[in-house]
Amino acid sequence: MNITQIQDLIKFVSKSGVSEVEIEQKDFKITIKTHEPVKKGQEIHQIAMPTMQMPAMQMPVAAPAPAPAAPAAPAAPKEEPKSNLIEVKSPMIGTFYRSAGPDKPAFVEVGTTIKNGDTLCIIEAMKLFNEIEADVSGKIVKVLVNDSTPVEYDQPLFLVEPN
Amino acid sequence: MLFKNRAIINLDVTDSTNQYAAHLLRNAPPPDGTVITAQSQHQGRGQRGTAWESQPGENLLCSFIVYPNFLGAANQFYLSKVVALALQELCEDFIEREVLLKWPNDIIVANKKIGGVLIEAAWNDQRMQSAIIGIGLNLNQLQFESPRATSIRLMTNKIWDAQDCLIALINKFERYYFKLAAGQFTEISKLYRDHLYRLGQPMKFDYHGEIIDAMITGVDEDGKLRLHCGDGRSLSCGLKEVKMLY
Repeated sequence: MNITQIQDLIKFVSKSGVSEVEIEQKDFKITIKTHEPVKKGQEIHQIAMPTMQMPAMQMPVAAPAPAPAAPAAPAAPKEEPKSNLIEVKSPMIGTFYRSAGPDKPAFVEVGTTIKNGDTLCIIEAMKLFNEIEADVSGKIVKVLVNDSTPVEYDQPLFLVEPN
Repeated sequence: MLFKNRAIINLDVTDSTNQYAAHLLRNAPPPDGTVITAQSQHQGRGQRGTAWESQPGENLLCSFIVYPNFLGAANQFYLSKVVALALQELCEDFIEREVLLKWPNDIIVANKKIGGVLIEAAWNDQRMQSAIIGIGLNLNQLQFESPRATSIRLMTNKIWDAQDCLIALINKFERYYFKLAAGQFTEISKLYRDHLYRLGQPMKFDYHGEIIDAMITGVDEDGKLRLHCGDGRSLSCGLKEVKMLY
């Protein structure tokens, strides 16, 4: 199961009104729990995936990463970003690219210092290639989306520690 | 004239007019509506690295630089629509037969591609701050590797002057861009739909790897292709979700 499928699953569970879904395959297990009562559009979940491979995962968030939750662990609110971190959000629906082309370096990496106007990524929407510029200055702490994956409007793309 | 101070920059050869435009934008942003044109480009591009097939001096290659900060995410696709409409109208004037728009913005005549568009935009604060509109129009080229490509010359048996064509294109583009800046979205959408290739014709599509029978019923506000399927489903498809099989 890839990240997109997991995201779709989370959305599905969120909309379905059920409180818990557990899927187990031979080397993979995922548990999605929602809070009761589920509010429309709410997307707060605890995901337990102890044996899940996470390719292209970036460096840990500035805050300590939560320990992998055991399947029976009680649902807890998703860890909020540290209050001083700023989320850079997608201004549109499209496909997220970290570089200008398949053989080009990424615009930013974790640790890159950025300033207002620097290009952070490209979001392609219907053959329109949109370079998304920073409107903050600071340091990239986390890249929240994998290269070449779909993004929704307002979806957080990067965590930035402002100057 | 909409672009009062725009420049026209003629180059013999460049890597690509879009790259030249990007370089200008980074270093000394030129006036709104500035056009860069080249006799030949050695790194002409389609979308994300696909090569654009063009022989030196035979085609119209140009990039417009505009600052459409009146566009937000919800109406960005209108920029694609007006560029495609300007090219479509230009080709129809030259060829004197029906020229259509293959979603999202290829220019099609007699089921063959005659031109294409590559737009690269920069976003800040939820607005489109600048856009580089790269246009490739097959003008006098006679040989193509692809059987699905043609040129104005092949369609008319005449040789065309690239500079004259550029001026005609600039005039068309400026007129459509002015409609966009004036917010004439309904008219733009109607014109785009009126010229949409294969509108309302049952055909096969590859939709997420599944071959389906469907027909195009239009394009959503955000540019997605609307399909009505043989099994009754209605779909709204992004570029990577669907491929026309024709």
